[in-house]
Amino acid sequence: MSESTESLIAELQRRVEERRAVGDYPVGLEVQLEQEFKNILETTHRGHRNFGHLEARMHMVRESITRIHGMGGVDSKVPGGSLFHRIIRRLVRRHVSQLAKETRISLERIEFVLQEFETLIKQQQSNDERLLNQTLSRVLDKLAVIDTLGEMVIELESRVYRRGDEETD
Amino acid sequence: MKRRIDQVLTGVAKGDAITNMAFSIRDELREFVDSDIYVEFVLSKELEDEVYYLQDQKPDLLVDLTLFHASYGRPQVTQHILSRNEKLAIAYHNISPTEIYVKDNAEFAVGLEWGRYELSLLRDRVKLSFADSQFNLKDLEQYGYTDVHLAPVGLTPRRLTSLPYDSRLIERLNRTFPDGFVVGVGQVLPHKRVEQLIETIHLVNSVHDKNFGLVLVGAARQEKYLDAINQHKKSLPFVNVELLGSVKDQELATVYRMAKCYFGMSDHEGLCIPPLEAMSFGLPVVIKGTGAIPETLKNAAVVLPANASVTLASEAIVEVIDNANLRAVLASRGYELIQNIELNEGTQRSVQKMLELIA
Repeated sequence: MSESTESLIAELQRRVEERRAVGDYPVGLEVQLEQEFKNILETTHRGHRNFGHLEARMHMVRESITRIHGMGGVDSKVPGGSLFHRIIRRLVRRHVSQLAKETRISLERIEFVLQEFETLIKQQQSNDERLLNQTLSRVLDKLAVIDTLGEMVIELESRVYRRGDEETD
Repeated sequence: MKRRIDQVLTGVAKGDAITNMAFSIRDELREFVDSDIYVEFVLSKELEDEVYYLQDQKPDLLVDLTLFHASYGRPQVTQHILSRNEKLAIAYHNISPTEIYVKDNAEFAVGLEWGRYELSLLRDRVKLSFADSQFNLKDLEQYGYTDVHLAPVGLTPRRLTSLPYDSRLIERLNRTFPDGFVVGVGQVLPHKRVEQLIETIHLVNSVHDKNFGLVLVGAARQEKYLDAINQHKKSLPFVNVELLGSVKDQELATVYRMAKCYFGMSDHEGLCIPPLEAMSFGLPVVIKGTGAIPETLKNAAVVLPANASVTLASEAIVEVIDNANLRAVLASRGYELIQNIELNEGTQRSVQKMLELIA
């Protein structure tokens, strides 16, 4: 920030304080405005979560599991550092590789569980949709029956009226 | 056979800064090599003839180098890039913070997270990397990238200045805002803090007895946030807000010409081109100094502290509009800044680096 900008900001800050003192900017105004918008956001509902993000997350889990090898780089800015890292890496390779292998196995098990959950959720969703469709079609069938019955009642009523009219004549 | 350098983007949209950058690079590249742009999705129909879809890129197409623009991640795009054998370059445009999106927009949040993860996946394949600001360069180095070139590619802040006025828009805005308006440009997303723009102009009008409107230009990508913004503006009666959405360049140029001031309160910016475009029209800029803003705009704007409140912003807006001397100083510094940016514009340098890599 340049000197002129700094002094301008300081001047503007002074004006804010001045206005706050006379009540133009009430104490806590900024917090209140922020809270009001937060409340609006929390009560605004739109759309629903789909599986897109879950699949991407699963993909991320799978990718990271395949990349666990436990071996860091050997680059170094310190003279001789690269050689040092290479020696250390060779010394600990056996144990680190074993640890990496066990970590991979554990994570693959977790991945399996997550996949099961994903499958179950999808199955549940498809079951719910099927049940909803069945219920909907039953309701529609019943509505069709009611429609037909309604038409029959209207037809009967008109016959009764016609007959009444004939008898009056 | 002519050599080929292609570019890959997750998506393209009219008016989007990264899309514009990619087109600038493609035009420059085509002076020397064959060059096309491949994307996963196209958000603006009029761009469909300008780009190709990733799935249409033939596996046997001989490409010498692919320049990937990193800003948002999609596993399909990463897989596509990793499945190919040509050399890879990366242009990093920064990735927005994930935290604010996790609760309300999980899919978008995963895309951002994947974008960051993707940087580490691609690192060992990347032979050349560019960042368009020092802020982005430092960010990219955190992912183990070394020798990153600072090259603000495709930056043409004056691109709108030669466009004619849109007379219908002038008439409409004059009718809606008889005393003028302040403009904010950017996607309507939570980290852009659109609510703070509205609150500030509400304070400008109510405390300083003004009657300025607020015009917001930019696509609304999240319905929930847009709904909340619409509701919030109803609760602030002293400000008349017009959300124009995504507009044509001619309309944007008209808005810049008519506005009294450019205003931004975003919490995160990797470069931020709209204020530079506003400066090219001599418009004063008041903006929160987050991310790459201070280094990009230097002393040519009123750069507020990164934690600036709406009360401080409202004082700054009033000062900039009422103080003719300050406006003149800012306008002159703005022109100077743009001139320097155009002199140091990185498209040619980046293209040269890419050509050297495939030589």
